[in-house]
Amino acid sequence: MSKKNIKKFPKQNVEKKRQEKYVLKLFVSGLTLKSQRAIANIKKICHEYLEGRHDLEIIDIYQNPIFAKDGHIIAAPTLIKEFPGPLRKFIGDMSNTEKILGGLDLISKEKNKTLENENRKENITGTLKENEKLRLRLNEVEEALNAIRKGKVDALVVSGHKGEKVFTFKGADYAYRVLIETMNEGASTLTPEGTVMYCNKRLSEMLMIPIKKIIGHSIKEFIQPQNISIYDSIISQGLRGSSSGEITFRRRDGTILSANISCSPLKIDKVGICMVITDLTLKKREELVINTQREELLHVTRVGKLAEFVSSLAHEIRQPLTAILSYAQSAQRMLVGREPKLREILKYIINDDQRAANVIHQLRSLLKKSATEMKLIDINVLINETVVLIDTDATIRKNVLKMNLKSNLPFVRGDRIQLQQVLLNLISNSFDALESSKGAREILIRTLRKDTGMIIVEVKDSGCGIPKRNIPKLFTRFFTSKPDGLGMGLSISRSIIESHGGRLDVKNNANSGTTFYFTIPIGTKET
Amino acid sequence: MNNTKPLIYVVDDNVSICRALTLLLKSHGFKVETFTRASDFLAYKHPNLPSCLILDIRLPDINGLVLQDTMVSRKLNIPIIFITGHGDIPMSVQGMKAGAIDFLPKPFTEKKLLNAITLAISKNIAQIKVHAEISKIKRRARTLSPRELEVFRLVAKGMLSKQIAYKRGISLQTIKIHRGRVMKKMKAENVTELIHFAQKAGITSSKE
Repeated sequence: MSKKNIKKFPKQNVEKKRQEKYVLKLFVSGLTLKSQRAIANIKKICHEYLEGRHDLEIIDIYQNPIFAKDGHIIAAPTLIKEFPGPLRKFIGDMSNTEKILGGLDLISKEKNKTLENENRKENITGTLKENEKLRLRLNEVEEALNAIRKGKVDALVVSGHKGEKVFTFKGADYAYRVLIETMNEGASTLTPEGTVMYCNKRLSEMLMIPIKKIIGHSIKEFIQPQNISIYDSIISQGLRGSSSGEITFRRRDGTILSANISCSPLKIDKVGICMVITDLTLKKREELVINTQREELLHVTRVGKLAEFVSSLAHEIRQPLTAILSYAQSAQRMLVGREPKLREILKYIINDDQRAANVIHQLRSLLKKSATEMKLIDINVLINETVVLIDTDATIRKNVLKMNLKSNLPFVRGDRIQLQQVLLNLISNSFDALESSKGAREILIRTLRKDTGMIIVEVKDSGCGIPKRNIPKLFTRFFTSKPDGLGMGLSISRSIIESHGGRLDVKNNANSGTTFYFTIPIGTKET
Repeated sequence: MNNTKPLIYVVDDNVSICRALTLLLKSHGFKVETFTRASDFLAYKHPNLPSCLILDIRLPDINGLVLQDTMVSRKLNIPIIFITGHGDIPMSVQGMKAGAIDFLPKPFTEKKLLNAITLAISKNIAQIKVHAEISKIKRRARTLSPRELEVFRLVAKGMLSKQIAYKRGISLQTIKIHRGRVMKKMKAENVTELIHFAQKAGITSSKE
């Protein structure tokens, strides 16, 4: 250690002018941590400056409110107002030695009031001088403390009654201090009730709150309310042995800090808790990314399997469809000029066969992009045709399908099968939403015209609704709330509607359930 | 040939499709033969009739495209209409490049099938016609003497009688006699037709 880094403290030589015994009464409002610190501070100061020539009585005004009337030092500003008197002064910040000293200046000698009055003038000059000295010393102490704090001091020599004593910071103790102050984890000591007694710089950074505003506050103020019970259980364990767990803190800006806290008992003076707080934000983010990727992979595999399955299924269905079509068409030829009713039936068979073939074709085109067939479509007719497809399903599930279709709507331009697919998806989603519904099981399909050259189609259900947090994810691929869902339906539906120049969106109804709605441009003859 | 009913072969492993197509095609006045295996089709003795083949691209024994190749190597000139239940586009491209008439995804309508068949049959009739003509030319060419055949080749190459005489060191008179015999034996009305025959039967390209 270099010489210039050594600070010398002068030996205490406060003038012992007054030999009278001081009777001090300190009124505190409740034995809080703050007041306890103040008491300790005052005790220390009294001891140092009055050297035992005092009698300090501490009165908790919450327990003994009556004493407030005849006290001399009152640290509680509300009581000063309530019970005014000449000898009362609000000292203010009890941790500030200077202020306390200013307060001590007003200490009266209870037993020698008159003497005090006589000596007042003399005393004041003396006290002022004394004050000046003390101030200088304080400045020196503060300077030294700052130097220590900034690491500019390697050792401290303190001159006392029993000679000089050297304190070094480069010892084991110093290393711990530096470690705790500079480590990348938040560290704090707490009272069993959770009041912060100490907090390192890192914790303050993590919470984005200045150290001053953490110390003396309850740590619970910084914890997400729903996590308090988790915190309590960690602490109660931590008082007995060590414990740890994950909780979320709330930063000053309202954002959330996921952290792991590990607690162990701290046995200095009274029982407290030592807590290390580890920021989990990065870890959480990584976990999320990995989980998302894993999920996506799983889904891609599933979709790949699905594509394969659909492909072979399509083939299997196409075989009988081909046969049916050819049978029906040969039967039609055989009946040329006869049996008009039978021929009509054959026509229906042929139409439905081709519809089924189209569905399969579109099913495949979902998995393999192919050209769409844009035609002018009466949307109301399309809705009616679609509803027919699932009417039986609705009846089985005890759902009521209602329609409120605006008449004389202009045609839209679109791909019949694709739009039907969107409608089917929305209606079957509504069915699922109504599954657990105890109230009305109703689906309302509505069409209306928007003045912007669009037609709106709404599918409204009285089901369970969608949690708000799920709404933004709803149309993303692979998002599903159903255990057996693929999370493709709404994503496909949205891209279909968007490829038609419209928009598909959702809103929760005011009373119950959800409304999915899409817009689709009115078609023109051209193009 | 015009009054004979064209013969449609159907090769599909699905019995129901075979049956249905038989009914449909017979109602349109075609003769129909169905096979569920490609090998059965190859083993069949194909009558000399205008015909076409409706072929499923995926068969249990051999792939439809392989059958197409086999038919080419066996000089089995029957136009093919591929049908498939899998929208295999790469396969269809391959099939079309190898000379298929059409590629119909299942299920196909009567109209589409008939359009394809009409096209295939007319192509097959033309093929048969060409084939018959070639064999007729070849038959006639076989009656030529070696010298006559040589003269035929050189004429078909566009050489004048004088050039041939000079090249072969034979008198012009002799060449003219040979040429006259060739014209007669080949039943060609003029030199242009003779050259045409040679091209059709691929006679120019041999030797030299």
